[in-house]
Amino acid sequence: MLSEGLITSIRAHPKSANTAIAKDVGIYLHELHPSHIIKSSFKKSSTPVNALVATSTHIFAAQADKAVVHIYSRERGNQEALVSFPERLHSLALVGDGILVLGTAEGRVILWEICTGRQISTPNAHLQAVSCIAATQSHLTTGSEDSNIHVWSVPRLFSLASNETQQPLRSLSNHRAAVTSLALGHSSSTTNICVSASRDNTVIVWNYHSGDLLRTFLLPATPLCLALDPCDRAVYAGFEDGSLQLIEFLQPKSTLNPLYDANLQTTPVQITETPWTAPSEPGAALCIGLSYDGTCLFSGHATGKIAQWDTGRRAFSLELADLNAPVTNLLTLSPFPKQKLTRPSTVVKPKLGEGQYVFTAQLSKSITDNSFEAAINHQGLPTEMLEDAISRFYGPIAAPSYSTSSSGDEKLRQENEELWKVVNEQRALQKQTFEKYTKLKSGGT
Amino acid sequence: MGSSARKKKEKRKDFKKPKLKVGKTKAKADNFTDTSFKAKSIVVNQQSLTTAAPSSSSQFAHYLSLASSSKSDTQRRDALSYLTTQLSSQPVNDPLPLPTAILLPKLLPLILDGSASVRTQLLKFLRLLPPADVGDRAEQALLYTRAGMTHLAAEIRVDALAVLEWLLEVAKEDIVTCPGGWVKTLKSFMSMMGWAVTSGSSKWTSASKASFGKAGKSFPRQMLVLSQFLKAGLVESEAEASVTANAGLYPLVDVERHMIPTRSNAFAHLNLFGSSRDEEGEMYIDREDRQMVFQKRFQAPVEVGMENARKEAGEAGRAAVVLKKVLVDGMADYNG
Repeated sequence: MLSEGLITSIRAHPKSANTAIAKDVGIYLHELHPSHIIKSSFKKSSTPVNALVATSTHIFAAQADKAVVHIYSRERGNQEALVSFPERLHSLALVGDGILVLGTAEGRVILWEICTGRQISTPNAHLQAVSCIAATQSHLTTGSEDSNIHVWSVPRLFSLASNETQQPLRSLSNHRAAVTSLALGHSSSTTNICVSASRDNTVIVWNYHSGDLLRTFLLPATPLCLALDPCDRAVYAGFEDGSLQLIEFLQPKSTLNPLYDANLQTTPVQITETPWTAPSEPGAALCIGLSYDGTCLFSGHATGKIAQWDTGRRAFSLELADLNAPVTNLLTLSPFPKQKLTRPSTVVKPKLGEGQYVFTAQLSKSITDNSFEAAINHQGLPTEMLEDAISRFYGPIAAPSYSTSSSGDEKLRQENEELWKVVNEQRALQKQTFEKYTKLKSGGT
Repeated sequence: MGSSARKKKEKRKDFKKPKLKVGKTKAKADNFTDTSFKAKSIVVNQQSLTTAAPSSSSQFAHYLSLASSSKSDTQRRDALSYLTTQLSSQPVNDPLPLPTAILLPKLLPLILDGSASVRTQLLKFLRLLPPADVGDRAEQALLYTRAGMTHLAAEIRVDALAVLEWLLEVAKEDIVTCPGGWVKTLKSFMSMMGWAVTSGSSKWTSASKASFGKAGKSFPRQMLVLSQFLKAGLVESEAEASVTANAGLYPLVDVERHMIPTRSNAFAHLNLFGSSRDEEGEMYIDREDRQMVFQKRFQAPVEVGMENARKEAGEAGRAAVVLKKVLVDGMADYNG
């Protein structure tokens, strides 16, 4: 049975002496279906906001106020490694499955390839700590407390040939205060959007490929975290007073996506709908995550509560759990994880020197093609199948002519003649007996 | 001479132990002093000694917890009446002090409560809740209503019928389309009214025990509620959602379907994460599906029972005529 899961991590200093909750546990794995349970947990971790990432095999947690990353193995359920870096770490992100991006306290970005141990770091492009990072396979966006957002190209950072210091591709400086959260859109075109939230109570949507500002939204409170709808129709922002807000990008009545309407790009939009509030005071919403189909929203708060919200009804649904310490990170796991061909069974610690890199991984699937699977996953019919079918229509037709005598035909003809001979003999015999019978009958009477 | 026997007896009595008689308390000793006392004190329960009165929302939450988990009937009933007066006194468009998502799960178990006053008070409170929120929790509400309809106690059955009437008024589309809402509710109706669901031999007419005794008065009412339920599920509602053709949005078609859904849990019918549902627990969203299941499993016993009820005449007969009309309307255009 399919199931959705959550990974949440806390920042230490438990609120109250609650003996029901284990003191040492830092990272929880929740399972949501059929009912919410805490499946497993990892100990000794205390993470700030935006400092937890997970692959299918490992969980990486940057520790608060320390220059250390804890690496936990999901299969073995224990802490696998402890990697230290030259500066304190403030944020983490993943590029695909194999590159870990770390944002440091001095404005530098370190990229570490997990399977080879190669480590690249950029110069101090930011003036203050890097507070949030978001990445796709080809681009990296970093936001910092100095209110700048830089866009980097991942292949260029990792190229083996270049020796010059890396520069960001472009930057956005429209924010006036620290950037708290970044989210990248799900499209793979050249018009992919980036949504950024900052402490000056604004959310900005912009195209990071071209650097165009698309829209500015003014909010009633300070947004601390963002979650983007799976189809990029809206973004959900969590505020410092514990409420959430839905910011819609699309309007049902217009053909043009309002984000790309050039007339509206310079005027900021004031969001007037009331934010969604939780009934009890749950504290600041530090982290937020959407379920796979976008109907459930989960938020982690500073009092330790994890709340579930219903996006259809735009309201609070129920309180999922209470973890007794500020919940700083919340990752939603897809119920349909992608199967990769290789997976890292153990991480390779970063080496600083240049030299030969060895790729260490475990093969998880076979490469041989299954023609049926290939046919199903193809768009339309595969060309080989089509050609095969057409060729069968145009093949030589065997004409039935008795003059052509192949050895098989000869044998069949002989058998045919023999059988006809037998049939004729039987007919003659039957005729004779019938005559005898009629003679006897007529003679008899 | 006569007095010496008396004196001897008295002297002997001093040294005799008094006989203990069964059922009578032991005789008190001569030097018995009563040391019992009555304490004259006023016992006050836990008090909060603040100068400000508790806020209305915290009071609301307190009375809610009293209503759902108190051991005494009168306390539950009083807590429910407090909640009812709070809701009815605030302006209509004000949000509730606590969202329905929290109120309903705590108060639904009171449908099966043992005391009649609690149940009537609960129904008054439920009628004040906003209809849209109730529709989201239709499955949970139906679970308790069905348990009430098939309860052993007859009064709880009657009150559960009233709850089902309220649910049909407020959220009839959700009731008949939620998972298990159609088939399981019909099954509980059949067991409540005693109409045999299994197609057994008709020699044994299921005794019309429903028309005897106290439960006999509720039989016409049960049939009326059944006809309301069948009307909600089988008869086409007049307000069909009209598809407004937005001709001005030429390249785009059906834009509303691609926006973020406004219903709660819009993908529930896909059943991605739950265990597989059998025929009973399935969601029947289309009217034709409901008609098909009804004809397959329930139409025969319903018609038999309705005929028997019509022959009885009186209240039951009139209710049976209403039921017949609904059946005819609902299944007229179904060709199985």
